[in-house]
Amino acid sequence: MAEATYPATGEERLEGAAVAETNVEGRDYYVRFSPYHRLSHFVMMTTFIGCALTGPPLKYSYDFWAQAMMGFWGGVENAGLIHRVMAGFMVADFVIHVLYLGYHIGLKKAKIFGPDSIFFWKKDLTDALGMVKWFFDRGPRPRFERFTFWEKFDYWAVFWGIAMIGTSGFALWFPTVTSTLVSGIFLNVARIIHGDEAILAIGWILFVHLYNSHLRMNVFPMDPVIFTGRMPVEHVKHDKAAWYDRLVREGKIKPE
Amino acid sequence: MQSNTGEKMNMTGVGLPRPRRHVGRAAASATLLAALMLGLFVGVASAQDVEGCLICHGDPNFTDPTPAENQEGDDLSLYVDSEVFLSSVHKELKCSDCHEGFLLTIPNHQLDMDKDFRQVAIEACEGCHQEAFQEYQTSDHAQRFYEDQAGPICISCHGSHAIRRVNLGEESADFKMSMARDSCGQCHADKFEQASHEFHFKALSLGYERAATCFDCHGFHDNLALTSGEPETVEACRQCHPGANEGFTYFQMHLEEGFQNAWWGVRVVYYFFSTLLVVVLVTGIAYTTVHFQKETRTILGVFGRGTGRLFGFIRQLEEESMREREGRPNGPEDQSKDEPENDDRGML
Repeated sequence: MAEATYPATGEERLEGAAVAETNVEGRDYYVRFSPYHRLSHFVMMTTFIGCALTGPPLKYSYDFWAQAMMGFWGGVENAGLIHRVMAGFMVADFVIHVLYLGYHIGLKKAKIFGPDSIFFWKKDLTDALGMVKWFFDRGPRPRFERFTFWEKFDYWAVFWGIAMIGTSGFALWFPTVTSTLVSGIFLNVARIIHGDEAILAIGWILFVHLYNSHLRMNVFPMDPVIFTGRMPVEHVKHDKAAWYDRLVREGKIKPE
Repeated sequence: MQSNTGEKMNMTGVGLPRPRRHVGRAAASATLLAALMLGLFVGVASAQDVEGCLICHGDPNFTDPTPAENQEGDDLSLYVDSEVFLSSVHKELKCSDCHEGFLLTIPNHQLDMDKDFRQVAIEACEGCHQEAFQEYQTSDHAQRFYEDQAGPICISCHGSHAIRRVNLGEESADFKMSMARDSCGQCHADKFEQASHEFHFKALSLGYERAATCFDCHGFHDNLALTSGEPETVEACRQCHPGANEGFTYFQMHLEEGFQNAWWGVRVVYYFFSTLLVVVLVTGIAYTTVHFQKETRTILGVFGRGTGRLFGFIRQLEEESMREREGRPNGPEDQSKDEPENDDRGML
């Protein structure tokens, strides 16, 4: 078990290189996320938390906790500065990721649809239906590929979120520029979109993303894969059976 | 709380628009009259003037003893809270500096009934504050006042005896908010409520003193209604947003909660995103909840499936208690019976 390691094939994929390795305890790991993936998620996570802690006190300024929270940041001006800096890094992270996607799809000719891709394909629909059946004991748990449909949903939700919250945020950040492009009433519209979508994003992260990624039975109390990049091979086998079979077939990991 | 200029105003009785024939008479005793006359003849210093008036007007129960005809409600209070007055910006002034011509006729001061008392009041303020008065003359407030005596005068906003010192440009967020709520909001409660949903008031309520309050846009004394697209509105916005153009003024500061008074496009966006928020979150949370109950069921393992699991749980408790009574250990055949039929638990 401890003797073999499985180096990357050198074949570039849309999601970056994958490699299997064995740790000192003899447990086999599969490297699921490249250092770029981990860094990108880390920046997204920290900037999201930064924005989520500085924005809502203004939206709910008349609630009892808002005063205390603003006091913690040292006032509206400081909170606004932190909010904008965080938003800047988040958008930069997003732009870099779009360039990364463009590089792999455009220059490296990575396949857009396939088992290794983050893009939705038809299996996600059958997986989702299968999952609901499984919830009600009407079938086995679906055999997932590399990315489950809820992981893909969380990934693409960022695109929607950046488009909505980012655009409206910049509109509110530079109101006089906005009003040279469109009527000032769109500042009211931007405020509605920014607040509603922010609450949606925060609610989704708290109630759905955290549960599916960290609190599920198999990974409780947290799944460190997004920070370490490494996933135990036995975890791959149980959680993403179709991917496990493919990795074994392709000789990337040793069967358990 | 001194910020509440509106309450102070009403407490001291000034600004209540009802006719009165004359004030005072029965309340003043001969002793008080003597003391007062002595003070007058000696030549009043400001403190003596204030003290003299407060002999009667410092009594919280001092009311107009000759109520007007057809009066409704309580008698008009003529009480002046000396603490409030002595902490106001006018604490160095004598009563008679504003209440001109009243002093010498004490205690039977006869009011000039040919003149509305509000006209008397603004002339008293004009005596010192000519510049502010001239600005006021151009305002929508003054226009309404001169039309039908319904518009607000100086004391309607500033109060009478509790006027505070204001250092222009250095107002605290609390002050700005209290002016908006207690002065402007007295009459414009709906506008105050509407503006409370927008950024400026939210930031003000969190202590950001640079955020605009009512008078930052609408002016102090030359209060203007401000309509979108008008040059004066552009000027108002430019005080803080130097790049503001005409389009900028179409931002609406006074939209109702729910946007019923807004352009239909705002309502469409509001309904769409509110619906999206509810639908997505409810779907996501429902999915997570069902997932969670599946896992809980799988972990607990023994409760059977579907709606029968509650009965399975009760049956199991009964069986356990029976086994305990009979002193019989849990046999292997019992365990296998309790296993759920699906064999994929643990593989979540």
